[in-house]
Amino acid sequence: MSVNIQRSDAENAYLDAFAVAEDTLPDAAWLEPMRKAARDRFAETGLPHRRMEAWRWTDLRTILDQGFPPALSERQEGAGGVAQNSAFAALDRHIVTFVDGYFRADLSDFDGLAGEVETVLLGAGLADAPGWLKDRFGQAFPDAEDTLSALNTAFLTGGIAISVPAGTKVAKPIELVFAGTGTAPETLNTRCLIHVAKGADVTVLDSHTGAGAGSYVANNWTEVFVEDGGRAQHVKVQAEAPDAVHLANLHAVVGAEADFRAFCLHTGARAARNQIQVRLAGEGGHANIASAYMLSGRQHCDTALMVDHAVAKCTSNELFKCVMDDHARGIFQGKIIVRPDAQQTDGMQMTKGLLLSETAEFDAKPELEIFADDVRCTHGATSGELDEDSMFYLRSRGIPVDEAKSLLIGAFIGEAIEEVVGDEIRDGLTAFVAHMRDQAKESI
Amino acid sequence: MLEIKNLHAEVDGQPILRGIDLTVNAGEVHAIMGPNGSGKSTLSHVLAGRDDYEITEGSVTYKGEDLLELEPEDRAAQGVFLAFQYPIEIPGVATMTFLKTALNAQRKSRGEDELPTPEFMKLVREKSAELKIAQEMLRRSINVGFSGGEKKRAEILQMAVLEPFLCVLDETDSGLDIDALKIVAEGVNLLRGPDRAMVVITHYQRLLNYIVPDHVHVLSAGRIVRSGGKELALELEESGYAAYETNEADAA
Repeated sequence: MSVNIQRSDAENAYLDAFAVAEDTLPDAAWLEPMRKAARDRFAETGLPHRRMEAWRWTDLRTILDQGFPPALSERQEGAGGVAQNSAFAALDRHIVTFVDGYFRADLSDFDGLAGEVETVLLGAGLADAPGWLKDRFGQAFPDAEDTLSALNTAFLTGGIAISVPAGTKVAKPIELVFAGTGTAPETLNTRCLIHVAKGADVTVLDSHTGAGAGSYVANNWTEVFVEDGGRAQHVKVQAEAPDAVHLANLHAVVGAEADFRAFCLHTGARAARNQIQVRLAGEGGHANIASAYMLSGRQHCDTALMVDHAVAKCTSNELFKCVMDDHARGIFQGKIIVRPDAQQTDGMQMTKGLLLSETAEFDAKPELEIFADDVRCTHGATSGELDEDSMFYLRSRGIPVDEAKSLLIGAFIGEAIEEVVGDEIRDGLTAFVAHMRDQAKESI
Repeated sequence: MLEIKNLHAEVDGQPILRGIDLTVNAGEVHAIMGPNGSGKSTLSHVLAGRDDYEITEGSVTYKGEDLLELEPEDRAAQGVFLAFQYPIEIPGVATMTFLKTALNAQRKSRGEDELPTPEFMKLVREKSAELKIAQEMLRRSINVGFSGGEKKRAEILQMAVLEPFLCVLDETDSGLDIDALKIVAEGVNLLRGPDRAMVVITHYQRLLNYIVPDHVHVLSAGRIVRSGGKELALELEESGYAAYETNEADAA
């Protein structure tokens, strides 16, 4: 007996768009089997909903309350000046900009990278993808059955793959700007693949931003492959438009003695779901995952993090500092797996929620699956309000309540920002946080 | 400058101050001594504006105005400064940033211009040199990693930078060795002047060898039970607080 599943408007919008996508997207023979598998998977599972454990706090089926068909046609306009508003505007960096899911040459400047790294734009560039890209595309966690990545594969329109040759230390950071104008309620599917060969070193800055007031869904998938001795840092600012929904997957595979650092600041979107998966696949590898949330109004931000210690002698460090005001809701789900052979693992996880109102909420769910015995794995989760003694101390020196709060909130978030490597990058983030706080005060 | 009249205060329904009368004029240094539990810290926190305490009777007038009506930040802008007995640590807020924010917030509140950064840095360098506080310490977060003595010196530095009119020192000597005590006392003495009043709250007489008071009061069970000149401090050193403790038994 077959059961007719009632699909939501959003789900139908995706299902209806499959045929359009097949006609519109650039042909890439090697990609077709993956695209078909993705379409089939989505048709079977639909959007995640809260009866699925990993989505219990984020019912995506309800959050996507209307159709957001994938953007499948270029809109070569709008969002001018978007890079100037980025948190990294003061830095000397390469810039690659995508607006509404498509690459914008006029808003990009990365000629300086030629000769240092190899880049492939993931629109038309998919057809003639080089071997290193085909080998890794979607391969960091190939068995992850995830709806967001399925949609991304089926409807991908723009993105970039970067391969850093062995031993190359990329001199300037590379900023990827993903902007949504909200001109139409669409899903923007973008992708990034970063390959760091042995001993190479690169910092990628990721700015997700709204360039207009409308509603859209940003669905980004970033995969990072760090080979032995390599170093990769991914610093992301999620400042989507207030009515937008931000969906993201960050996958990383870390080789022996390699170092992967990821930082994400969440200040935008009405709902954000950040999925981070890291596999420490080589002995002596290190992963550092930090994040800061600055949520107010009815914002919702959910990070599902998984760090897999697959081999011995790896270290991982996680720090989440989440500030929630008004009716905002912050969620952290952090799983650490230590496989049977992963002896001498050292893993640390710390999550702290700061609630600025009686109606704000913070949910933390640490999960540790430890199968080896020579392991150190510590985790802590706390949640509280602004410290009264600290507030009184600042006020007793003449600092008014609002400014005192800002100082303490800045200090709270600053601890996460401290995990980022690079003075200028940290300064940019700190200034951006202060700017967002000032804006929030003005809008009261 | 400061007039406390029949001040009664309680916390969680428990009376602590049971009728304090005290007048402090500009240029004077008053020492308040007393055994533990007499209400010394309560008095200093009530003056600073901590809202855990309920004022049940009496008044506090500062420069002719009702002090108890003012928020803590407004008292500070009017020139009230409390040097805490246990200065707290605030990780992530650099000492220098804190000082500048505090000074400029007070100036703004008084309708004055903010002090431009170069002048501010010069002021802080001068004052911190006098207190033997290294520049490096000022780059660190407020009181984080500071020893007990360094924390107390940092309180006095704040006083020197903010230039208050009424300084309340709450057991500034607690936890200090002689050398640290001398440096702190020197810093306080540099701030003495005809326009400034000081209330030095202490358990031990030793501090008063270095910060010589004009008046000494004994606080016991929430009341000032005796007042005198600086010799009273030496007398207390000899005899202890036992003679005054009967008051606490009566009050209980």
